Amino acid sequence: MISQKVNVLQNSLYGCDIISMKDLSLEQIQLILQTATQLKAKSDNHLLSDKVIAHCFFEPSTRTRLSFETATLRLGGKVIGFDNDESLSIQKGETLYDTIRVIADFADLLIIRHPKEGAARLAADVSSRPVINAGDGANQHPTQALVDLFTIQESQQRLNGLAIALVGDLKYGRTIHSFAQACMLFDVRLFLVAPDLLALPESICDALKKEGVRFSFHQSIEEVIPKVDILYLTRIQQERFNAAEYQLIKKQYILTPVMLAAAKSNLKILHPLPRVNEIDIGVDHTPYAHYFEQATNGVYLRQALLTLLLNKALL
Amino acid sequence: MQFNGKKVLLLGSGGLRIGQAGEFDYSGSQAIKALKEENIQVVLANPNIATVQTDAHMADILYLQPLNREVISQIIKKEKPDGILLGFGGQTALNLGLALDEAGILTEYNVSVLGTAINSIRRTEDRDLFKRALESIGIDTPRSFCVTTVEEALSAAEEIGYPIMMRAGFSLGGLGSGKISHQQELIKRAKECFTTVPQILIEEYLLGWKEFEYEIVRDTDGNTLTICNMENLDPMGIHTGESIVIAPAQTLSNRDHQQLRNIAIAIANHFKILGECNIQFAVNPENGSYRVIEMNARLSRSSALASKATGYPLAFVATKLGLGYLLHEIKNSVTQKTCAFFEPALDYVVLKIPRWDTHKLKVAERTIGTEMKSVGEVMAIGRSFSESLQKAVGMLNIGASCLSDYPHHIANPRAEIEFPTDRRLFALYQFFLAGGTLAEAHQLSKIDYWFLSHIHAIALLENQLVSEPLSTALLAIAKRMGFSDRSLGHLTQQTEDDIRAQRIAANIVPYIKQIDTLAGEFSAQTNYLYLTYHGCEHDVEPSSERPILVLGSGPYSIGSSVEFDWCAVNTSRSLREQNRKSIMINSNPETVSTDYDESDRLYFDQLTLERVRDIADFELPLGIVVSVGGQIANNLALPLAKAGYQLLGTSAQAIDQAEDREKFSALLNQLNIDQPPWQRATSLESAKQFAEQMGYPVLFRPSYILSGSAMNVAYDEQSLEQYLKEASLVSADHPVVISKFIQEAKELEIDGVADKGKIVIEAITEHIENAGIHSGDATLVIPPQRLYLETIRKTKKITSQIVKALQITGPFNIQFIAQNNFIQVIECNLRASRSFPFVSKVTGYNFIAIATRTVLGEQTPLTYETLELDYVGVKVPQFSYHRLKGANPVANVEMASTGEVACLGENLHEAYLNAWLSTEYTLPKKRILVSIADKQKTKLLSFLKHLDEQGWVFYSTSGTHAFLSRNGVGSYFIYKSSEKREPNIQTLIAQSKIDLIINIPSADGINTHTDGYTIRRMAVDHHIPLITNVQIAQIMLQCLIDLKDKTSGSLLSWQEYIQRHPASQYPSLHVLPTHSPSSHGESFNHQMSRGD
Repeated sequence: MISQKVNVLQNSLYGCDIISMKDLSLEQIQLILQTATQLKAKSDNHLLSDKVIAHCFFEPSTRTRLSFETATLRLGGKVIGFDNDESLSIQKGETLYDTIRVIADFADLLIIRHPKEGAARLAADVSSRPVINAGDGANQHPTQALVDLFTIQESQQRLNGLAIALVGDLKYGRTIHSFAQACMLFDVRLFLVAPDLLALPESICDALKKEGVRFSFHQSIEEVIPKVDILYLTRIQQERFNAAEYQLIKKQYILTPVMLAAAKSNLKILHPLPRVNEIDIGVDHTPYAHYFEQATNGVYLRQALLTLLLNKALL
Repeated sequence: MQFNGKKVLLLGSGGLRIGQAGEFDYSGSQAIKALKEENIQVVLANPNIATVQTDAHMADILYLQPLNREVISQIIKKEKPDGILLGFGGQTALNLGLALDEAGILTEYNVSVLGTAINSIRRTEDRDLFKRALESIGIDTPRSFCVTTVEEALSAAEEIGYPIMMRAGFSLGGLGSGKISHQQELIKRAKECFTTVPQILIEEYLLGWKEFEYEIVRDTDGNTLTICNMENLDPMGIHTGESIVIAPAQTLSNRDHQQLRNIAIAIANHFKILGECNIQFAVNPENGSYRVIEMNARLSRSSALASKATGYPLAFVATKLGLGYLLHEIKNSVTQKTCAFFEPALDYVVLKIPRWDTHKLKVAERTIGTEMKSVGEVMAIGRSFSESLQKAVGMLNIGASCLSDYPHHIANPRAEIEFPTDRRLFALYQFFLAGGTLAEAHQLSKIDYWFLSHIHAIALLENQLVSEPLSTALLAIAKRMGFSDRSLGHLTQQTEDDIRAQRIAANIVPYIKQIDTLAGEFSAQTNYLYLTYHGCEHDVEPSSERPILVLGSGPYSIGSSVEFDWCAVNTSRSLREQNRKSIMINSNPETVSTDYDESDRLYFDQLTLERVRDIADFELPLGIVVSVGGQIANNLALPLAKAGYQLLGTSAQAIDQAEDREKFSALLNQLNIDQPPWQRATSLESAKQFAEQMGYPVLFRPSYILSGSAMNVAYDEQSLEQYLKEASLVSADHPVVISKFIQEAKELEIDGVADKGKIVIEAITEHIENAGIHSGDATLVIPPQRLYLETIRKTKKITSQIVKALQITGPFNIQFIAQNNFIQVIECNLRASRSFPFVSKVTGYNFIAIATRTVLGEQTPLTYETLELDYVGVKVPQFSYHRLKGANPVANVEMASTGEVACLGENLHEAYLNAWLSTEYTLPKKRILVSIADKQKTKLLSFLKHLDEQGWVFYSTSGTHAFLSRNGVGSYFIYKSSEKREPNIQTLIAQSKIDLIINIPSADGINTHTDGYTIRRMAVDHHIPLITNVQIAQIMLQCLIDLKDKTSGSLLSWQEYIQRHPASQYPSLHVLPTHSPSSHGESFNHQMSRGD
């Protein structure tokens, strides 16, 4: 729960960059979630009325981009930007450095999605304006992690003492990496369900271990379903396996309604979307399905971020 | 003020441990006798199954249950007693009583506290309140400050000035107390203390002051007596339990004595003591000023000693006073002629020496001080200080028959005199022998000149004995000064028999004297006797009817404890039931067997060949029972038989055949019974060769063993070499035996009684731990729960073969290891074993009563059912590691436990958990630290998975963490102490964030330079439950898993369980039918010994 203390704090996020979950303190996360809750209850569409937000998507994105755009527009802000780099001057040889320098002079805030790990950090170093990382390669996707936390808190009324299963591609999934990072601030128990080839990177496991997060490795979804409050699935990309391996793994990592027979009543299933076939559509009609709510929450959470980064005063 | 209730709850003290030992079996037993004399129904709560007080004919209702507030509250709810006795179960019972009172249980159920009021108890227990109370009546106590934080402790110490004395409140045996010389030490020690107690005391340090104790009784009208005063030979700085104590006080002037006596009485009056209390004083030898050090408003170790020293039955009288009797209304049951309203007078000198076993726990420090480490004690009665002192030494069973033949040379006696170790007395003696002066000895030790000069005189006499021919006059002097025949033989190059013959020829014999409590001022009937060379006539005639001598247990030590006192007491009772006269010999004041009413005659004297012969020559017994007192008595079998004395039961030759490794092995070969391969190690080379041939690890042991004395396991050549050097010290007469050390096997035992080679009764006990743990440290289960029928059948067959071959008559115990129905015999004892009380009380058949009837030839053949019980008994060891700084708390082939407890339950797990809780452990909440050796990890996985699912929280070190996470169990990672990073295991333990520690070491568990050792030691020092054995971990984890579905079941008394025995018709309490029909239509006899 968000403590009362938050209200007396200054808005410590004003003017900040959001590059990695590592940069955020527990108090800051709580402030973001609280703001998102407030905005979800009562949207204020004037908070960004005089702001221009640059949406710089160096790789294709649908949900994240539209989510940010919606958030911007709902708050009365203006959008500039691009959604793939083919038409871009970078194609002509311009460096990221120069691109960001220039855009930073136009806009009040930059949202960046880039295929290279570390691009967002570089952008933040260059930019005089706040930068939000909307995904950099296999590295981080902090706003998604915040959306996840927001959704979990909303559905479970707490963030501590939960059992959470992370399922699928834990090696390359940047949402997972950001989420794991966020977990280090809370007392949660993680069940890591992945084929050996896609196991959570050792560096992250090591960090979890040292930060006092309990976790364990599992091979099947069914084994963990009765134990968890949150089942967080991610997409397994076919191209990472040969055909035979993929067939085998695909079967094991598809969630169907029957598998949920032993689920706890408060279980919620999350997925950053898009799903391919990890979740049988039959699951959509169970009370456990929560991934569409998760997507909806993305807008509120991003509204909260934009508000906090660009407004000194607290709501 | 007279108590009119009909039912009283008595709280016992639980498993024997350092600081709280057999003395509370004595006090509890006397309390029961006193209550029953008043026709009051007695409910006893005590899980110590080896005690006399938990016998069938003692309390009316017995609960073998943990002594904690929850359980006792349940017992109170169920039994609705009218009164409760808190003063007879040591500090455990007293603290429990305070807790019950604070929780409002006593008020709620209208239970009155008999004896001293609970508010008085509280004021005597809380050091600050105590001090203020004494100040208010003008009595001096040491300058002191009661503090609750480390900072306060530091400023208090500044105020008084270092060195200071630190004491922890509410502690037993002075735990956490000690001299502190500087600030750093205080910070460290105070922190340790605050993890267990809320307050400590920083006091003025009274180094070198003399120490005295007064035992007081007081009745409800305020009549007060001092029963005994005692002096510590070791001045202040050494805990009373660690001191040599003498009664009556020797170096006190009459004026000083009267002053202390008056103060003691004033204190007892001030706190309105009802019953018994003891008060300790320190007296400045320079100017006679005094300080009151401590007070116990309950029976204590000292009161047991005082009771045995004076013959005044303190616990019995205290119980009667608690019921509201006045002193003059109570009969002195020792004399049968006087009343209890008198102060005993002593015409003899009593001396107590503690018995330590620190050498057995390899790493533990041998120094002694303000914390108690000794595990037992002996008491000698004589008519001079020298005689009593040397008698006491001969009682200790440490290889010395008196000061002269202590088997170890002390290289630097000055150091051990100045910084006392458990052998300071011998250091002093050797120092004097080598010409050391009294002045230097006094300067180093601060021991009073009076004591030192006597020890000095003994040394001078020894020097004279080696330089002069042994004249009759010299011999007489030597005997009066307490020299043994054996040592005189050593000193004069003769045998013990030569000396005996010479002195008897010269009519130098000890005379038998009575302890009549009255110094002979009035005529008295008493059967309480001792022998002295300061006399010219016997006080008594030989027994009119030829008696039977029972050899008792001697001092309690690791491996020989209250269970043998139980055996001796039950033998004596059974003899009397069979209309025989029983004579008890024992030297241990913490026993029930040395109570005046447990035998027809009691010789409080040495259990040595010389003394037993002296007594037997006088009493001309029909026979001597050597099979119930443990190994001390058993070792006398052969020499007594050789000297021509009649033993009762199995022949001495058969005993020797079982004890002597070679003879026993040959017998097994002849019978085609398997045994682990072994060899007598005569040289290092042959030992190495054997080990290489068999493969390490190998086990070493001397032939005569008890508590695995000097047993050891070598895992490699290096430890083998090291061991052989050590073992040569143990016993030159009995060389070392080396055998294959088998671990991956079950271990089981058969306890039984046989008659001329045929089994009369037997009971199979299963060990929970795999082979490799000393049987005294193992967890025992009866009836066996996890043995193959095939194993049971084979074991029984082997047993009957051995019993037949050795023509056993009387008690026996055989130990086996079983690997998939392959059975090997590892040990055979032709005496009662330490598990006799356990098997007797679980099966409901008194094995000792049966054995006694058998050796008398008066046992009628009967069938006993010991396998088909519909409840389970579990016995677990009680360790005292927290008393022994530095000791490595891992069970191995060397016995380390100081006591035991046992509980009954509907099933194995229920019984185990109760027994575990009875060893002063509390149920873990949810946090478990696991650190498991690689080989054992998978054995615990399924249990940990279960608990993980139930929401238990694990903490683990890196290897275990990786293993658990790989296998689906989440845990909090923590660094080992040597990694020196946070989150660190040390911090976690120090902050008490762990409820249970499971640390399963690999073979290097005996090593003390490992992180595992640090974890174990910290667990012990911070009172966190610790499990180090993988089978125990399995059963404990299963118990925790089962907790989830556990409804708080009804609490059953021992009687309620036993009545369910298929062959039992236990109608109720003391009187049992001789014959009763069984469900099989056969006639069964299960006479338990009947009390009166």
